[in-house]
Amino acid sequence: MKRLIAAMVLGMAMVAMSVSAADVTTAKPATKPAASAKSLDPVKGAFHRIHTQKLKLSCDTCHAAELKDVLFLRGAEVIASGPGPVDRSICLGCHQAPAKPTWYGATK
Amino acid sequence: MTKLARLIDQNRCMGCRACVSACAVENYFTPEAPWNVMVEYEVGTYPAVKRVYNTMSCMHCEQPSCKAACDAVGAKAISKNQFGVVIVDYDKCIGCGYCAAVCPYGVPQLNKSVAELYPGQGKSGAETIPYKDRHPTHRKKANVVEKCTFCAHKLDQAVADGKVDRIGKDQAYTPACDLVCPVQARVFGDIDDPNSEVSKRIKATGAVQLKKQFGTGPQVYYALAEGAKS
Repeated sequence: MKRLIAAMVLGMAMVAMSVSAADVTTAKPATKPAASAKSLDPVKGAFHRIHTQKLKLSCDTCHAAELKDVLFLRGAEVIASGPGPVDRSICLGCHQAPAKPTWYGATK
Repeated sequence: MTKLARLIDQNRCMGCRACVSACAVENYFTPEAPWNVMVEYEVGTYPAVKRVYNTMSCMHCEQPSCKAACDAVGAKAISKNQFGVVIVDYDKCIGCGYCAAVCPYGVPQLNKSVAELYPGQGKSGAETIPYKDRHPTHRKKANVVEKCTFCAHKLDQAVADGKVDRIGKDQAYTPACDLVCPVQARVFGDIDDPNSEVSKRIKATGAVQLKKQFGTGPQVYYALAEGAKS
């Protein structure tokens, strides 16, 4: 009897798993979805990973000093746990033609 | 073709912040996520010093770095409309903040929470419009990016009324910030029309775009005060 019940439970579980898998398959969007905000967080995600791990840049390469660029709308913002904002002119040291990669959206 | 642009004349601006206030009321932005900010700084050497007032909002760039970054992450929440206005779709924004990270002007604001214009005092002005009846750019959400839209709700109204030619001329079809300037330091209109007020004033004042080195082609021009930064 115990074996019969165990077999029934196992069978029901397998049926349930196959239904769930089918649901997942049918619910999958046709196009590639946008990455999640969590994975793209500029502080915790790819943005820093590229600059610190792949390019081996130290923090003070970008966070060199206080923001000297007054023409920056969010100039007064304070990043609570970080070393401070990045002056965009430092970004241009690499991200400007003819150096690569160019700045996002900049004309070649 | 109508391409909208703005001229800000620093030689006229006196830093009164009427434009900032008008924007706050019209678009009920919150202090944590301002759409329009008055930047001021000193130039010269004592005793020959003076103060420069440089009001900043979205530059509505020809090649917006925010849009390029947004497209690169796959969200595609930022677009340019038929007037060249850069708009954020709150329903598509995933709140990653990449646009804010790459904008050379520090414009995009990742609004962490939707707050009232006057906290604790109830809704006021346009905030009283039911959420579903608001223009999409006024349907604020938490954890999405927002910024100046050139008052897109007014521009869309001009299109609906068939009065695109009155943009920058009629109160109903002109951004709030440009309407309230008491010293006519702000002019808004069609830069593709050589006879428009904005085209004439840009030419007459020799106005320039800020931070041209980033190559984004901003559509806001500044008639610079002597010694002002660009």
